[in-house]
Order: sequence, then structure tokens, then C-alpha cells
Amino acid sequence: MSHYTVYINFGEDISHWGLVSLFNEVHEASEGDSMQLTIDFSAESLFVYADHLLVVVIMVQHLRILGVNVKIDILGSSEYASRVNFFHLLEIPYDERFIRQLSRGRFIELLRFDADSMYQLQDDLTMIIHQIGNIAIEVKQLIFYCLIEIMDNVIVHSGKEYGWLAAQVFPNRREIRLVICDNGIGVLESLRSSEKEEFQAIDGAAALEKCLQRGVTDGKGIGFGLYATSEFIRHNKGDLLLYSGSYCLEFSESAVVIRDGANWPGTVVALRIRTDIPVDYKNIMPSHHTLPDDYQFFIDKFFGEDNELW
Amino acid sequence: MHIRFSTLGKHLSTRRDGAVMREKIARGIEEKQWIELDFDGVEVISNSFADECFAKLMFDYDLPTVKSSTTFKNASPFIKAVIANSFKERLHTMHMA
Repeated sequence: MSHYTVYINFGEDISHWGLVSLFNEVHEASEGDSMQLTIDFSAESLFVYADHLLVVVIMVQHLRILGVNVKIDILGSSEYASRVNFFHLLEIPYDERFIRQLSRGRFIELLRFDADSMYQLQDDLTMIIHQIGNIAIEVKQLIFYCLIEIMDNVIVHSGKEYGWLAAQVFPNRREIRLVICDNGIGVLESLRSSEKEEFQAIDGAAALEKCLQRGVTDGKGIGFGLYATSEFIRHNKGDLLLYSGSYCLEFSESAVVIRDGANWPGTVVALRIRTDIPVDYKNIMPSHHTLPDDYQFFIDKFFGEDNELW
Repeated sequence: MHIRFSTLGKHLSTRRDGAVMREKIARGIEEKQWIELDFDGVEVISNSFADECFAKLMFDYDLPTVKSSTTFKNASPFIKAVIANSFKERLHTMHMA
């Protein structure tokens, strides 16, 4: 039986890639092995992002499902992590020394979704973001669109019945961080499962590049959702991280970089969206697409058919 | 928690009354209670009352939270329309902020 040790210090501004890399060796773990995970919140200044917390939660849950005994020690404290249910999801006790208040949009919990709940989650999250001022309506509309597309990708392509989502709004920095992830079969296996000849000989890096291209699909979808999301990010001057298996693709307006060496059992789509840079959906969507109308319909529908409320 | 709006009268028009009711609703939300908003006996509400009582809940709570914590009972279509419109107008104002 093997024993692994992982130490995460949220006092350091670690990247997604860096965080996933910390678990590299643990991918060898199997039933009966053990891992000691130490999570350090003791620094005076912390860089605690919801999407990073979710990565840790999913990795721990994945290992536990494999039968790995995961022991977790927490150093220091983080109200934010507690408030988004990080410790609860890790199944470790945490003494909350604050009163939980339901504050608008500030604490969006780490959320699990499935085929039944994802539409309600899309509505709820979109409405939370809609209530926040100083975000371009065009950005809100495209988030509304991309959110369901990426969640749907998890349900349709991952081989799993559920996925996870985390979102965090930074009004002062004028950005939203959003991550949707799963620990399913990953992009490469999904494309290969189509049995299309063009996907059989490619590697994980090529699979990530291809899945952002318009029309690329394993056959279960139409290959537009991730393409549209990447185009949104490109015009928005934000960032998109896509990692699956042992490769990570970093996409922005200026460059596409693929790294290898950090393993993720499944797929992660992480977005950094600029709230101050509107994007014309007509630059992305097929002609005659009705995104603004769809969005307005969503707003109206939130209050029931014919204003029936609830 | 059961809130009877008819305790304020048949015609609800003032922001002051709206604020009083909003505080009750907010307390119920904070206490994670299921809140029934009962309009039995109420004939008319004004836009101002609706904005103060309901729409301004969105300053402190996500609309999904408000929706999942409350239900409207015995509200006429007119009253519902005024309330829904107050939410939408306030949302528009908040979005433009």
C-alpha cells in the first residue's frame, strides 16, 4: 500500500495548473492506499478562489470513490471557504465562528448538478449575476448561454451523471470566475468513443485543440458549445482553461498554449470573464440567433407565466 | 411563517408599510423559514408598496433565495402583476447601476 502527501498553501497565488500538478503522483493511487492532505489557510493574505476549492473537493471525492483513505488537516481558517461549503463537502468538521447570512451574490456555494437540476441552476446562477450591477448585459447573455452548454457537455459527454460548478464575482476587479468540471472519461476518450477515424490516432493535446473547433463532436452533440464559449472569451479578452487527462489548454485572445504533465481525471472548463467588455453575440452565433430574446424570456419566465409569481 | 397583508388594510400604498413588511420577510428568510405571503382581503397594492416590500429584498438577497423561501397566496392577478413588475423594474435599475 502506498502513501501520498499533498500540501496546498492558499497563502500562495497558485495557478489552476499548479494546483492540479500537486496531485500528480496521487493519480497512481488505488484502493487501500492513503493520502495525507494538508490545506494551509494560515497566511495573512490568502488567495482563495472558489474554482480552486472545487478542484480540491473533486480530487478528494474522486480518490475516496477509488477507495483511497484521505486524511485532511486544515491549518488556519477561511470564512469564505466555509461559507461556500468547502469543508462540508470534504466531510471535515470546521468551527464556523461567524453567522451565516444570505448575502446577495457574494457567496455562491460549490454546487453539484445533474440532468434534472442543471436548468434550475442555470436560472438561479444567471439571476444572481443579473442582479449584480456594472456587468454588461451582453456578458450576462453570453454567460447564460455558455453556462448551460458547458453543463450539458458534462451530462452528455463525460459518462458521468453529474458535474460540479463554482462561480465567484469580483466587482472591483470587473471579472467573474466560473468553473465547471467532472471526473468522467475526459475529452480524448469522449472523441474516440465516436469511432470517427479522425479522432482515433490523436493524443490528448490534439483532442483539446480540436474540441474548441466548431463542429467537432463525438456525435452526441453538434460541436458548438465549447467553440462559442472560446469565441466569447476571445472577444471578451478573458481566459479559458481546459484540462483533461494529462493536458491543459490555456486559451486567450492572444495565444493558445498547451501544457502537459498535470493529470486531471475528467474535464475542467475554467473561465475568467471580463464584466466590463461586452461581446456582440452576432460575432459568435449563427445568423438569426435569438440570444437577447432568449435572455429576456428567461427574465420574464422567472416570475412565472403571465406574472404568476410563485 | 404566515404574513397576512390585510392587517395593513385593503389598499396598500405606502412605502412605510412596505418597509415594515419587508423587515418581517427578511427576518423569515434569515431564519430559513418558509414564508406564506397571504393577500386575502387585499384589493389593491401600489407600485411603491410593492417596490419597498418585495423588490428591495433584492438588495440583500438573491432572487432565487427569495423565490425558494416564499410563496404568494390569495393574490389577485392584478396584485401579482404589480409585484412582478416591481421586481423587474428594480432588476433593471440594479443592472444599470
